[in-house]
Amino acid sequence: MQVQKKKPMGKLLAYGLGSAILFSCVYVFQDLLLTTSAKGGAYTILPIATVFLFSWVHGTFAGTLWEVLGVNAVKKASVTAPVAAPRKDTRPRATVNA
Amino acid sequence: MDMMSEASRFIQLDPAGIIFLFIVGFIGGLVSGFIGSGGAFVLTPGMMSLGVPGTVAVASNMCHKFPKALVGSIKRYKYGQVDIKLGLYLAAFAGIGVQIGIKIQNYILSLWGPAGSDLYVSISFVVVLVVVGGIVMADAVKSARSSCSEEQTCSLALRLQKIELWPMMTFKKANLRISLWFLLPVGLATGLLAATIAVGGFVGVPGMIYILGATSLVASATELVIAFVMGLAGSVNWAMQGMIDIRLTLIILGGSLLGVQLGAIGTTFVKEHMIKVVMGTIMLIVAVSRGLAMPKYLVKLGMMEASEATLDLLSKVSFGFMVVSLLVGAVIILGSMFLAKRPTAAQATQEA
Repeated sequence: MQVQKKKPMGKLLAYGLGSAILFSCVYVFQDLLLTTSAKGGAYTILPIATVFLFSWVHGTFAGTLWEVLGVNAVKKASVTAPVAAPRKDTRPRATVNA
Repeated sequence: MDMMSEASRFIQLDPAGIIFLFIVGFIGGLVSGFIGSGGAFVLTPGMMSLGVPGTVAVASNMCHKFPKALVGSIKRYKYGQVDIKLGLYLAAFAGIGVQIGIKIQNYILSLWGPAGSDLYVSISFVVVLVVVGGIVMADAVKSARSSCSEEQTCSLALRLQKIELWPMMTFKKANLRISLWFLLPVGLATGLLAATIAVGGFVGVPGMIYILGATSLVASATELVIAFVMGLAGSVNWAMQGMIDIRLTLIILGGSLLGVQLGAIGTTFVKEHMIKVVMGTIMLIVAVSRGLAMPKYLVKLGMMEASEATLDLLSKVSFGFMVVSLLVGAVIILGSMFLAKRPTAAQATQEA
């Protein structure tokens, strides 16, 4: 019998709400955001920090959404490539013949 | 920077434009999560078709690319597919490649002007995509026909791995030991192509597979690390000039963060050669698209004659092919995920 994993509904709702709030803030304050980031220079931090914040909140929401919808990764044995065999040591060796 | 130039830089967004960007972002993210790159070549002209100036479109696109790559690479790292060390080395060399690419672009611009530069970009697109896309596609077809379930390492890569040329580098996750001198051209070519056609992954991923000997899973996942590093550096550069329209970036990111994670999950479902199938298909269709864009630049340079209506039609068909390439890629990914998931679902039903 398969054990049904509990779906993270609480996490989905929390990050979904956070994502919705962030997108609403962008809509409401779009003029301020645009004029400030358009200044460039020291204000470079604004667009960069904003996308990092969205990656965390909206990214977590998106990942949890697929999990709740049942789209989960399948475990595979290995993803590594076969390596080339090490070179044969053809150097002459000193041998003792009794 | 005065308010007038800011007003002309940032467009008024309508609901149709927002939905278009979100959907293209999602599909682009799906393809990126699966093959390590893609989407950018449709998003920049797509934004420009909405009236966004070229530089703002490039800047806003790049600013969405690095967080998408970050989220995608974290996801694929959890699946054990990312070689961070390999990604960082290649990203460093790609940074040098970008600088060389910019120098070549500027030289061509000074010789033949904007039309010459556009023609150079289109020719690079067509040549690289036909050659590399053809190799990837041929290999994908060969792998699909092969009864061997394990992906075979290319004989060129195996030969290069045997050459003990100082300094030798070991990449544990990719299970590779190869000379730094073979990493250098792959990284440089990735950067050169990124500076020319904005999709370095079209050379980076095949380079990692056929020259270094990584599997397509590791190569496509590691490409996301390169995309993150290069995208972050490029975005900081554009942000310093105030060229990023953060609204456009965030709308695209809204869709692409959903897509990139779905694409990353997809890599664990499907057979490894599917990454090559999707990559080869997209590259060959994009090559056709860029081929159709070439007459416009040839006319501008006086090397060909064509009516305005013909050029306009060719331009629209060219953009159509770009969109089709992304859609075909998405359909193959989702279709193969669905087909791969079906036996698992049937097995679970039988067990229950």
